[in-house]
Amino acid sequence: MNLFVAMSELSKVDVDPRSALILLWTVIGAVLVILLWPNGRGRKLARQISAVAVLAFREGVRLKVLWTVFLLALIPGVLAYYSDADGTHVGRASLILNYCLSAGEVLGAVLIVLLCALSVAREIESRIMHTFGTKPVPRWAILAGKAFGFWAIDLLFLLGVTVLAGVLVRAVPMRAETREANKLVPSGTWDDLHRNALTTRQYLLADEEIGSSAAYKLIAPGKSRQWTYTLTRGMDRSEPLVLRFQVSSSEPFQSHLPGTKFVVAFEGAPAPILTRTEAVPQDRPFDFFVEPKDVAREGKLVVTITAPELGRRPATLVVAMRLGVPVDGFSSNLLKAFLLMALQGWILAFITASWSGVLSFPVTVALGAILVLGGEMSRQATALLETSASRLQALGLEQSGESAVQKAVISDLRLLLQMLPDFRVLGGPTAFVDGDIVSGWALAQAGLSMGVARVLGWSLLGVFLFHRREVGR
Amino acid sequence: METRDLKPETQNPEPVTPTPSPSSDVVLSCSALTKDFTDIWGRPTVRAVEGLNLAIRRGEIFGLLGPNGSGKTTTIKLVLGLIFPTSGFVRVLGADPRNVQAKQRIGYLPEESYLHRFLNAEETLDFYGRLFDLPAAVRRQRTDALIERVGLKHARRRPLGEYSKGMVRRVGLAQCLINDPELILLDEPTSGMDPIGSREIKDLILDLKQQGKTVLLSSHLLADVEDVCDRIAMLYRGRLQLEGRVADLLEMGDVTEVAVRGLSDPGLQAVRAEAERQGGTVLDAHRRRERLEALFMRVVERERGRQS
Repeated sequence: MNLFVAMSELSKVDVDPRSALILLWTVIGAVLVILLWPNGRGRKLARQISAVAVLAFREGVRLKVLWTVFLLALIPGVLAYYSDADGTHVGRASLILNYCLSAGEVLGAVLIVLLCALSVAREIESRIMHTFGTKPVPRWAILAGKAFGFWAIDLLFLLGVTVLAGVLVRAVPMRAETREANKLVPSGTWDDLHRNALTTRQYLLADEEIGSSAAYKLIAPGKSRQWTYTLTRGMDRSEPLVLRFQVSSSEPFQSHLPGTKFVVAFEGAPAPILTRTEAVPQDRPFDFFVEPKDVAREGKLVVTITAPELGRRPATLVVAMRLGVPVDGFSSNLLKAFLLMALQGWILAFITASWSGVLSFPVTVALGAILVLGGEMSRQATALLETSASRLQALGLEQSGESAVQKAVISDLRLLLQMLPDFRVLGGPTAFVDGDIVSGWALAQAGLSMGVARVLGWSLLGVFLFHRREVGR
Repeated sequence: METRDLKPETQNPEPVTPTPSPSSDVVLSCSALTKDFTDIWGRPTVRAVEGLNLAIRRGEIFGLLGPNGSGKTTTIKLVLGLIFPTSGFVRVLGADPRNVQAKQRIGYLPEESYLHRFLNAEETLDFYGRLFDLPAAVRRQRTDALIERVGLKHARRRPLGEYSKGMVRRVGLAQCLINDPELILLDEPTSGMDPIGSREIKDLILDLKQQGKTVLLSSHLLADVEDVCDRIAMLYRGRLQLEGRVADLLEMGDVTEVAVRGLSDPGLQAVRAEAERQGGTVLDAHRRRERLEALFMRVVERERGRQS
């Protein structure tokens, strides 16, 4: 029961929408500065940066490392496609998505770090910068142009990987979830897969459970209990709603509880939407889907569950239920996965490009690796520290001198660790495969904190040092 | 005295059109300029330029001479802001060398043309034209004109990686002029060029002067400098050894050259005798030899004419 509750807790989204507004105004502000800069210098700079970006793009496309990485990225997805995974459609689809998107994430990071690390460092070593550096382009604009150009290559690569993931999942063989004498027979449809596994949903508490500590209801044999959900106009009904149940009983050794009745109807409606009597599995979540056309209206949706009365040993049921409202379909989830990977590429592109003018190629690559790994480790380390702190609190040691010192150390460490960009923010591009929702607000917040704040924080020193560097030696 | 010019000798050499004298407007000045290169710990390892004072006026062709390692290229890099002085200062077009606006009016040809090998000539010039924010139509027009001017029309779409050294040098020269600069810095411009190419570059430099441009030319090929420069400065081990107008520096005030056409050997003896009678000492009297460059040009032009 606790696992079920914990799983539904993961679906909650808790984001400050102000971040999206700040990000929006940051972008608008940057555009205004470019357009309104006196004497048209802003527009001139933009044209110069785009010229450098186009050159960087052309330079990057010609590099063999790009095509090598692209071919490597194809392999995991294709291997996953031909694997049976756990034998279920959902398992196969999850495997393909995990492999494809993880490959895109990792190889995309490798690609962008290599491209950006090579760029300016190589131009200085090959003395192309002797010509380049005498042109009326500020040095920071050279770095920005390089970053944009290589990021564009990374975006194309990520787009290819994302599309490949979508194509492979769409082509998942709808073979049976069970085998008959080692023969796989067709079963299920794309719609089933899409509904079951590829749509993320937000699971809502019943109206009467909001603000309450109880997460489940007891139903005596032959008795009924109701759950009421208020459907509003803003709820997405493009995909089926899900009624997700988890049932336990006073007869724990029964794998199924036959004769359990479910009725779903709008309050005051003459006829129910759904009436089913099922042998429900015990202690694992199961779903009923309600088609969009049946819940197109606003109102209160009432779900009534009646415990079976008859049977050898009628049981008291313990039922928890959530209403799953679709948040993102498959296309939307893929798009958000792509945006998360693109954000990662953006961060790496600008940071490594800014330092490639100061550090040599291998040192810049090492810097990129430290950022990626450091971000991953910082998240795990922060989680460990927080676990430690909460454990101390649970043991009642928070007031002792020892824990006070630990608190201070933990606080400082957390601050240091949070300075590193977190490339697995929001769970990374495969978060939706586990059912986690990536909201637009959260994306905007990540874009602001990672894509703007951390990029500036890590890049500015490199840009300043490159400005002061003698490129003619 | 014969009037010197660069065109092949003809029966009736035409007089050189007088060029406007350089104005007193200083476009480039160095004052006590010193550059020490240091090791990783910041300790000076070599003093490349020491106490250099230079002033280059608008409209003149200024030659920077010196043997290898004398500091010519270092001086040019200091002027362009590619490296920074240890002491002293540089002003270029009235601004700091790293001023982005000043670079808008400068063209630079490095001693080796370091260009992107995957671009062709057209794309290279277009790219650098975009860095100067030239409108597309102007870029196209100048690209066509410069490619024609440097003689690369037949190879404009080939990647630079397939060019010979001389061809790459020509592209480098073209990119140096894409922005129609006021001040042009040429570091060993004829390096890697055949005699025809060298002649063309020297003609180009003189054309630039006719247009009122200022050229700083660095070379260790003395003939190139002598042919085109108004003033020169000579560096040795980073120090300025001498500076002045070419004509003034090279003129030997007490030696007179006389060129006579159609003189027989007895006539030559008579001229010798008369010179000695007038109090002079005949240093040398011989049949003039044509310069190898002139012979080369004449042969090539004749062959071109035959093939076309």
